[in-house]
Amino acid sequence: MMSAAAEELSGLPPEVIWEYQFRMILVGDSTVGKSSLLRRFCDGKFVEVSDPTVGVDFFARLIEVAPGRRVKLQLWDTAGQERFRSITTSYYRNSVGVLLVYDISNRRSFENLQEWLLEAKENVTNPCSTTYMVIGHKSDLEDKREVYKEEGEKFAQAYNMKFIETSAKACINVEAAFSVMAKEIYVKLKNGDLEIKDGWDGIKGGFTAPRETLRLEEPRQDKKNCCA
Amino acid sequence: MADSEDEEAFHSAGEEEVTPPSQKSEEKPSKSGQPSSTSSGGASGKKEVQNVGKPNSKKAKGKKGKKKKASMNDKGDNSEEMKGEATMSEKDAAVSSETDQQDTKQQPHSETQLEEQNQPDADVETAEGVKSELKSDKKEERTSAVEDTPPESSKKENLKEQDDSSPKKEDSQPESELAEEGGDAKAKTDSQVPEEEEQKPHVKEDAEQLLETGSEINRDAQGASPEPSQDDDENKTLETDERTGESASASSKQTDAAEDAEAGGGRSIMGALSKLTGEKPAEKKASGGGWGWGGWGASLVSSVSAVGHGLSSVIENVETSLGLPKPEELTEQEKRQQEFIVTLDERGEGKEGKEEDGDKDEDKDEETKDPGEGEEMERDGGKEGEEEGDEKQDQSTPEDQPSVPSSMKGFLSLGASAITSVVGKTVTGGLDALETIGRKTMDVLQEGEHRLEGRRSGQKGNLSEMLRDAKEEAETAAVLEEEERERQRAHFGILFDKYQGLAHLEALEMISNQSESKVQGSLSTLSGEDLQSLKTELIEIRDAFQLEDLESEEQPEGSEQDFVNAITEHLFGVSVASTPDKLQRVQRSVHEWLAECKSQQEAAQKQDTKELHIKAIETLAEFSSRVIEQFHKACELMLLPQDREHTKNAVQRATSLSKLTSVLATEVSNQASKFADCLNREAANQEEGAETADVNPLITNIYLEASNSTSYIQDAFQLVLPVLQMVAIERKRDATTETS
Repeated sequence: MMSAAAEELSGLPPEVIWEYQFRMILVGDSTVGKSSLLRRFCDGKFVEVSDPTVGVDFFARLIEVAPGRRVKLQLWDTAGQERFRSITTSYYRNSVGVLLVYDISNRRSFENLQEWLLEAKENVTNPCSTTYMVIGHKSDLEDKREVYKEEGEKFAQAYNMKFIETSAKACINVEAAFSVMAKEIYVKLKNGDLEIKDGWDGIKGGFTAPRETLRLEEPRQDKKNCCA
Repeated sequence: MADSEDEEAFHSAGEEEVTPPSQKSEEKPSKSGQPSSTSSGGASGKKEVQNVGKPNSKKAKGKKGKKKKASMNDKGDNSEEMKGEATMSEKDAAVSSETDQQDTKQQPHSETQLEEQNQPDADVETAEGVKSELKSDKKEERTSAVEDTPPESSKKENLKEQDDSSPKKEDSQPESELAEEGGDAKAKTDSQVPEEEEQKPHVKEDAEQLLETGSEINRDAQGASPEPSQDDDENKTLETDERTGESASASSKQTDAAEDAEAGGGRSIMGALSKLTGEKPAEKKASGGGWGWGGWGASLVSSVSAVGHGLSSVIENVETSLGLPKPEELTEQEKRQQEFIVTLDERGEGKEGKEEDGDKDEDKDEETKDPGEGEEMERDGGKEGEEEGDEKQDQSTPEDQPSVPSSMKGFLSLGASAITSVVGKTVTGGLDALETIGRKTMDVLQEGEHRLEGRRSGQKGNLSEMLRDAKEEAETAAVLEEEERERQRAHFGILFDKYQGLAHLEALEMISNQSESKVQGSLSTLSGEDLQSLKTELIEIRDAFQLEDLESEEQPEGSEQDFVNAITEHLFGVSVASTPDKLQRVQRSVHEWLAECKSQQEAAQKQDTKELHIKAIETLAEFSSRVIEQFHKACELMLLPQDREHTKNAVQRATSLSKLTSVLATEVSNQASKFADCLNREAANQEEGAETADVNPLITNIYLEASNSTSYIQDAFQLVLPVLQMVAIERKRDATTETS
């Protein structure tokens, strides 16, 4: 699950050194490539064929949002299959970022984004302060493109969301997509638009100092003053 | 003030001018080099002054006078004064009384000088003086060029004219024309020296310049007067000094007044000047002492600063439009720069001063010229000056003041502002940067080395000791850090999170809570029999959902296959379509690893106990994570609507789940004990009691984390209950809807 890059961090378990943990959720139709995207981002791998996600899966990676400032992204990879819809709606609650993924070679998946967005806004804890991004995936399939980039941009713009086209297979914009999201959330956090709240796990304090007591059951409180 | 002396001086000056000019030219370039450099540094300040002054012409006096310095002193004074007076009188007819006072004061000089010299000479000289002044004003280059090297001067003049006079031209051209005429005429009529020929072309140019700067010249002359006074002091007579001093003071005051007047209006200048003249003597004395140059420098400083003050008001206006720095800053910078310039000038001129001092002729020339100029002044003032000069000046004056802003803007924006801002910013910016760097350094030091900080304030022990202590502390901290890292590598919580056990637990919790609330909601909607029956069913499920006593569970030292069979069977009992692939994989790899370890140990291969411990914890964390994931998946699948109908009843599921959990918990303890065995074998292999003591805490820790692991699993198990209940309720509702 852990990316090689993250594990290189001074021999420490990579999760130890994040300042915050942002929880993001990926939603979108089945087979648009959510899991592939995450696998590429977190493991650096791409598999042509993969089993459909059951319920939700988890990925995690550290990412630098500012010089020397790392955050851990905990990425919830939801099942796109319709039968899991009732379950996946439970998972929005603790997300600070929502990634709406569609397949540029599948117009239907783009048209369903409206529905996904609606669902996300209904289930997210704080719809206003949640960061959204539209991801047009499989951008390597240019010859099979059914959704123009402009359409995706327009849709994202209409709802004040970010937009990017990615390809896990060709490794295009994968890093950028998550980086943009993480930085956006980080800035919001620093600006006070977001804050760490009890009972909400969208943002958690992390570990910056290795010497701190490391009981995961008790999320660090030290970093909470960083919002000030 | 012997006439003969003056005359001689004048003549000699006229004759010698050729030579001295050369010297001057040589010198002046050098000056220009220094002054220019200074001016370039201070250029902003000076330029501003000039710029400002030219349009108004009042300011120009002070600057020009300063710039003219020793070389042109007397000439400049007289001519300038003359013109200045004329202009003044012309301009301010109403203020005539004031001008008269000034005139009277100034005139004495001119008269005395005039008496000494020939009028024609004076005219020519005045023209020269004016030229020289102009040139000097504009910059030393001009002066040098004027006297000796016409081509250079012309070029330079042109350049300068473009720069300096461009603003002026509009305003002062009328005057310049007059001046040209007068100057040329005078030059022609006055067949004094061969120099005249040379001078004539120069004169014309000069005259043009003069005309352009005609108003300026007057002012310049006034401004220049201070310098002459100094020169006079050195070279000649006290009387001239006094007079020049007065005139200079008057001029300087006038400049000040003029500056002031800029803001207030041209007329007030006269009054201000007159007032100033009254006060001046003291200043001059102070400035007059010692070397002429030094004195000049001092006077320059004062006048410059005065100009600077005057400027500030003008600058403020311009600044607002240009977005320049604050006026206070500007003036400050100007002063600094000017002072700087002055010092440089003093040095540069010090050389010149020596030379010039050596060449009294020059000074004399200047002086002699001054009287001549004075005559001209009188003439002009009386005749043309009043008539034409008045007209032109009148024209110019109204133009000048309005023109000030526009021309100022252009100039300031181009030269002065740019340079000042650049220079000022560089200086202040540099200082700021240094300060910032210094502070930042301290901050960084203190931030990074709290211990150092404390020590710094606390004890004043020697530095090496302090640093040694700090180093030791740092090393200790590094060791601790390293140990901490080791500890973290074996930290169950971190590893549990790494394997996403925590995430699955959280997700499971979310589902569980959601189910729980749904169950409660269902209960609240029901009543009577339905409620009772539902409650009964839920209680049944809960009862079935009890973990059998792990202790009592017989623990067949289960083989790998036993485990797989058991969990598959129980998962099937839960009737979830998920397969325990991951669980099996983990379990298999663990056992393989343990077997490998055991064989190695039997082969007497040394194992690192620390690594063994880490592996144990890692395994426990991974396995429990997979278990929780399994539970999570099971719940998700159970919640699927499609799943409800084919499944067994909730009680059966609960039972299966309970058994599954028991198996998994058993597996955890099995793994723990196997790792403990490994460690014990390792300790036994290595023997020598010390090692045993080393292994025990690790074994203890393994068992501790195993129980931790088990509790996670049990927590997850408990979280499934609401889901089971929820599913049961859903199924019951489905059944009722179907039946109904």
